[in-house]
Parts: sequence; structure tokens; C-alpha cells
Amino acid sequence: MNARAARTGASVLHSPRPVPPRTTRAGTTTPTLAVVPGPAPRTGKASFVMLIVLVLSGGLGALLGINTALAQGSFTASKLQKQATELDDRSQTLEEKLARAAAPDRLAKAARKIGMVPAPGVAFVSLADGTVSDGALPAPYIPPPLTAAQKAELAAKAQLEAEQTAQEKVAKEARKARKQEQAAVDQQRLAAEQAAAAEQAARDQAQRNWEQKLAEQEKSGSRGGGEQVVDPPPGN
Amino acid sequence: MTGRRPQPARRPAARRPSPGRRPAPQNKRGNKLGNPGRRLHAALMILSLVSVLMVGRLFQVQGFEASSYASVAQNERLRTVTVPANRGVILDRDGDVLARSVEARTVTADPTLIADPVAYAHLLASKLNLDETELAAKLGERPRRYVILAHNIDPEQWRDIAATVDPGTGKPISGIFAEVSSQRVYPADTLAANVLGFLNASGAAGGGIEREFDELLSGKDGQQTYERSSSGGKIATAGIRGSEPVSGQDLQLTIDRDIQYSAQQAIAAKVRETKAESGTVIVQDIRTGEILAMATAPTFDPNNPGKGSDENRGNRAVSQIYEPGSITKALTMSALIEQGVVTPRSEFTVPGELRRSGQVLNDSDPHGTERWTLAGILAKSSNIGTVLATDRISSQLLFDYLKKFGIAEPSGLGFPGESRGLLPKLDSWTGTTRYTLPFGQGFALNTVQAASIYQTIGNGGVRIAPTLVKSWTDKDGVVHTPAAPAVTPVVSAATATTVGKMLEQVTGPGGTAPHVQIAGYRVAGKTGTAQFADSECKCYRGYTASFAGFAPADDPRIVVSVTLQKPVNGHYGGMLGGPVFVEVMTFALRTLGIRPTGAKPARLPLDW
Repeated sequence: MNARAARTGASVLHSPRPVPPRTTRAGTTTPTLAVVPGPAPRTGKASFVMLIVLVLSGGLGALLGINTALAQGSFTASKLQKQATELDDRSQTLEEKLARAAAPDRLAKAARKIGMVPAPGVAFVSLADGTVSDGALPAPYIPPPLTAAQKAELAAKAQLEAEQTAQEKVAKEARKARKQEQAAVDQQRLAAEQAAAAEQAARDQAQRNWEQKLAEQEKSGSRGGGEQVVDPPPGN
Repeated sequence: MTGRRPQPARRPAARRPSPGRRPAPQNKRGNKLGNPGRRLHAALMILSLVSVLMVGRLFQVQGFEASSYASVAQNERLRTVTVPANRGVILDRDGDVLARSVEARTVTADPTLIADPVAYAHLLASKLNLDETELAAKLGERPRRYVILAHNIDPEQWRDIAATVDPGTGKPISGIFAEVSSQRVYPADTLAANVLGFLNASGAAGGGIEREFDELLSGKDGQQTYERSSSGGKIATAGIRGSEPVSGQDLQLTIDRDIQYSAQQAIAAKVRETKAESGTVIVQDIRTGEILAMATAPTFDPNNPGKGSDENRGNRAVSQIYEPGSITKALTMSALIEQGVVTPRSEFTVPGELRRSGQVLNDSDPHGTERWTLAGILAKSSNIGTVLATDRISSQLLFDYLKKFGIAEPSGLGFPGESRGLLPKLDSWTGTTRYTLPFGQGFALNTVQAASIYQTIGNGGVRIAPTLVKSWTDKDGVVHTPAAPAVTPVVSAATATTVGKMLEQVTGPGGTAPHVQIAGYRVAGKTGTAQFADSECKCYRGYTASFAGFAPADDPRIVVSVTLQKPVNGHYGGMLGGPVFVEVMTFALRTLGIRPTGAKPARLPLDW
């Protein structure tokens, strides 16, 4: 602008462009020198943008990192939670088993199984003078529980005995049956003999009756025309 | 200067328009819209209008309706589930668990997701303890989407089920689900079942302590609200809100589980042996009134209450009332001696039968005219002798003593289904009432009340109301104890001691129960054989055989009361109740570490 002013200063009147009246000061022949202010530093703008980008990407990165960490933590937590639940369940199951096993009736059964018996008497130890009251009694002898082999042996023995008994029984039955059969045969024979004897007696009786009647008819003389009034006994 | 004039006039035309030149007539009409200034203006107007609208909407959404929109959005994500409170544990006097709740699973299925019900049934039947064909039928109920397969599957079992691999697809099974539930477990099965009660299928208390202290035991259910993702999972970072469930309180009973076991075993065996309808045993601490055992036979398994009958699920020891018979004579004797009208050595001439109010009274064993002392009358359990002795006090006094000993009074246990018994009011007494009451006919009581009579005599004449609950512990660990039981002096200590000595004659030579002996200990007790008043036929049918007593007689600690209802094989109280008494008493003395005194039993003359 100053340079332009200097140029136009020589021919003000011939200048095709109007010169604003404010610039008449420039009409002096000696041009003034002044420090030209440099243009605004361009490098500053670029670094600011870089800073913003850095902050933004840093923030994004951090956010991503935190989120990942959170998710990771959440995964770990849920895994541990699951493990804790499993262990909790396990402990519950075991406690349950223990409580059941410790119930008085199961305890009593288990004790009997290993050959323990209720104490028939108890003795008390006096802590003051160290004396023991009488009252403790030896437990009655209860045979120890049988081993599997003994049980098998006993079972075999029992079975053998049972078989023998069964055989004896069968034999006895057979004998009894034979006896009954014999008795039946005897009875039948006896009955037949009796029947025969009775028949014979009846026949004899009839014979005797006929003879008697015959004798009576003869005696009364009513026998006419050789007519046979009395039938003879049925065939011999 | 003049030559310059037209120039500025021309110049503005080339330069930006000025407001002064707007109504230029040379401009065409179409040029009006084309005017950039107007265009800009219009755009600005529209933009500002739109932004005003948007801001308005923003205020509407974010300002005025923000809460309702937020709640709608939240409800889309939020799920609320009930967190069941843990039911309190029931403990015995030593802290052993009698009942507690554990987490369980209810296994359900969605049949529409199951392709091959038969194959699934084959896989799962053994794991669910179900019948294979039944399970296949359930899994095949096609149109339904929800079938319950099994209750009370423990979590480990469920884990095993959930991990089952479908051999068809090689993947874990699908369509089988589980819901978290709570299961009440009674680890010792039938032990103290009638005292504890049970929970029914819907989880409600069905009787006993469970019902009496239901409010205390059940606690308060909590709620959990969480945000869930579209896949249904919890959003971990969103936070979980809700109220924590308040666990139920733990209840400690006065029951000793070992003594309870012994009592239960003994009475169950005797009920089987005698083919009795039922039997009960009470074991009570004389000095505190605490009930150490309350056994009933037949009983039930509270783990499976559905299998028990109603009668067996109740507690006969408090709900069943009966005419006690001769065990009442201890009460009568206490009244007579307290009144000072007799002493154990008072002499009576006891005839074989006695006519009173037009009725003939008999003794259970026929006898001629005997010369018995009061001690003899009690030892031989003579009804006639008891009536003769009671002639010396008034009906009013007799009634008062019965009341004082707790007959037909609430026991103080507050147990569900408790029956306090029957005692006719004084003004409704018939002619014979006065004569039958002294030997235990014409009124009714329960086994706890029967035990209480002997607790009173054993405790120097001071009745302490029976208690079943020792304490309960709230969620902060603070231990609460119930109000102290009522303490009532009934007779003097001297009277109680005298009656105790008389009761020792019952178990001595010449008494009705000479076989009731415990080596090293002095035993006081009384047999009772009464006719059973059957409510069905309103007649006497069958017998009530009982035995009640305490030991050691010289320093009473424990009361045991045994009752058998309607035994078929035998009916004498001494013969049936006696052995149960001895077994339970021996066990209780030993369990509580009570030393034998080794003293010789007191002997009183029985006749003169």
C-alpha cells in the first residue's frame, strides 16, 4: 500500500483511480519506513490440530482400554462367580451328606454294623479324688458280623439242608402214597370178598326159603296139576 | 470534480446492492426472488424456525417428558426378580441341625424345543429319578411350552443334567431348564418330625414348630432389579438395585436329639409289639421344665410329608387327650398330704368293692378286705382306697388341686393343634364325678400335662410350665430368649418329698411295677391303666396304658411319661409303659451324665 502510494504520488492528477482524500498524506516525497508485521505463524495452527487429534484419539483409546478392562473384569468376575457357586453347591451337598450321616439313627446303625453295642453300664470318674465308681459292665458277647465267605458257606449249608429236607419230604410223601394205595387195594379186596359172601348168603337164604315153601305146599297138599307155585331162586 | 459524479452512480451497480437501490424500476419481476439478500433472509428465517422447533422439541423431550421417556426406556431393560429369603434353621439344644433350607432346582422343559422325547427320556430318567416312559410322555406334550419335570433337584445334580450331551447332535441338551427354589431338609428324617412339623408342597408351613414360628423362621423376601442386554444377560456395569432378602431367624429347641432318638425308638418298638394304635413319650427336665424329647409313634417323614397320614403328621403328645387313669393318684395323694388330712402311714380298711352314688367301684385286681396304708393304696393302685382317702377333702379342694397341677389349662407351649384337655366345672359334677376324678376317670389330659404332674412333684412341688424353645438368633446375631415359663408353687417341698417316697414304693416289692428298676438309681413312678373313651362309639373301647415317673428319686432330674393308646397285646400300664420308661430314662440319665446316687430306696409300710 505504501509502495502503491509512492508510485501514485508522482502523478496524482493522472491517476485513473480516485485516491481517497485520507491518503493525501502519502503525497510527501519521502516514503516512511515501518516494520512489516510477519504473517501469523502457520505452524501453530497445525500443532493445535495435532493436539486435538491426539487428545481425541487418546481419549478414545483410553475409553476403549477402560471398556475392555471392564469387560475383562466382568468376564473374570462372572467366571469366579460361577466357580464360587459351584463350590458353594459342593459344600452344600457335602454338608447335607454329613448331616444325614450324623443323624442318630444312621449313626446307631453304622455302629452296630461294625460290631459296637450299647454299653450296659457306665462308670463315673471323680476328678476330685480320682476314684472310679463301679457301674461299668462288660458288654454282652455279640458275634461279629459274618464275612462274605462265611455268609456264602452258611447259605450253602442251609440250602443243602433244605434240599435234604425236601428230598426226605418227597420220599415220605411217596411212601405215604404207596401206603394209601395199598390200603385202597386191600379195602377194595375186602369189599369184594364181603360182597361175594353176602351174595352167597342171600342165595343160600333164597334156596332155604324155596325149599321151605316147597315143603309147606307139599304139606298142605295144594299142589295141583304139578303147577309150580313158588318160583325157584334166580340162577345159581 | 463534476466528471467524477456520474462515476459513483455507476459504481454501486457493479458493487454489492445497497438498500437504497432496492426498488430499482428497471429490474424484472423474476429478479426479485433471485435477489440474494432476500434469499438469505428467507433461508435464515426458515433455519431459525427449524431450530426453534427443534429446541422446542428438545425441551419437550428432555425437559417436560424426560422422566416418562426415561422410565419407558428403563423398563425395556429392567428385570425384577424376587430373591427368596433363607428360611431359618431349627437346631436342637446342642446346636445340631434338625431342619434347614437348601437351594434346589425345579427342572422344567419346553416340549416344543425337544425333537426326540424318547431319547431325552432315556438320557434323563435316571438323573431325575423318574420313570422313563412317564418322562417321555411329559417331554412329548407338544403344544405346551412349560412342563415341570422334577422338584428338589440339588444344584450339583442339575449341573450334571445341564451338561448332558445329546448324542443326536453332539451338543448339550436343549429345552430343559431349571428354576431356583428352596428345599426344606430334615437330615435325621423322622427324628422329632411331629415336633418340627413340615412344609407342604407350596412351601407353606404345615404344622408343628414350623407353623408356630413361621413368621420368625421365614424372614422377608428381597427383590433384585437389574438391566439386561438384548440377549437377556445382566449388564455388569449398569449396577444392580433392590432390597436384600432378610433371612429367617435360627430357632433353637430344648429337644436333645439323642434322647429324642432313644424315646422314638423305644415307643415305636413298643407300639409295634403291642399292636397299639399310637404311643407317646415325653422327657422333661425337672428343674427347668424344658422338654428334652417329645416322641410319637407312628410318625412320618417330613422330607416327604405327602406320604404321611394326617393323624401321624400331628403331634399326639399335645393334641390327643385321654383319661389318664391311675397316674392321677400321685396328684390326689399330693393334695391329701398337703392338706394334712393323711400321712403315708395312715391306715385304711379297703373293701373289695365300694358303693358310691349308686355305682359300684372296683379295683382292677379283685381282692378281699385289705388293711393298707396310704402308701400301700398308691403302691397297689387301689381305686377304692384312693376314694376312701379323698373322702377327707372337699370337692372344691380336689377341683382346685387339679387346676393347680395344670389339668385342662393351656400347657404354655402354644403348639399348633394343642388340646388342653377336659375337666368338668364344679357345678356340673354328677354324683360319681367326685369319686372317679381321684383315680383318673372323668377328665382328660394330654401327655405333656401328665408329665407336668410328675415334674411338679419332682421339683419340690413347684410347677414350671413346659417349654420347647430355648432361643432364637436374629440376623444381627443377637440371641433372644422367650419369656420365662410360668412358675407356680402347687404343694410344699415336704409334701413333694413325701409323695416322691410313696411313688418309690410303686417300683418296689409289693408295688404294681416292681420290674421298673434302673441299676444305681432310685426310681419313682406310677402305672396307669385306663379305659379308652372312644369318641366314635361314645363308649369305652380299648385301654390307655401309661407310666410316668422321675429319677433319681432322691435328687429328681428327669421326668419320663409314656402313654400307649389301645394296645392289643396286653393293657397294663406297668407291663407296657414300664419297659419303655426304663429304656428312655436310662438313656437320658446317661446322656445328661447324671451320677447314680447309690442310695438305698426309701421303704414305707404298705399294710398294717
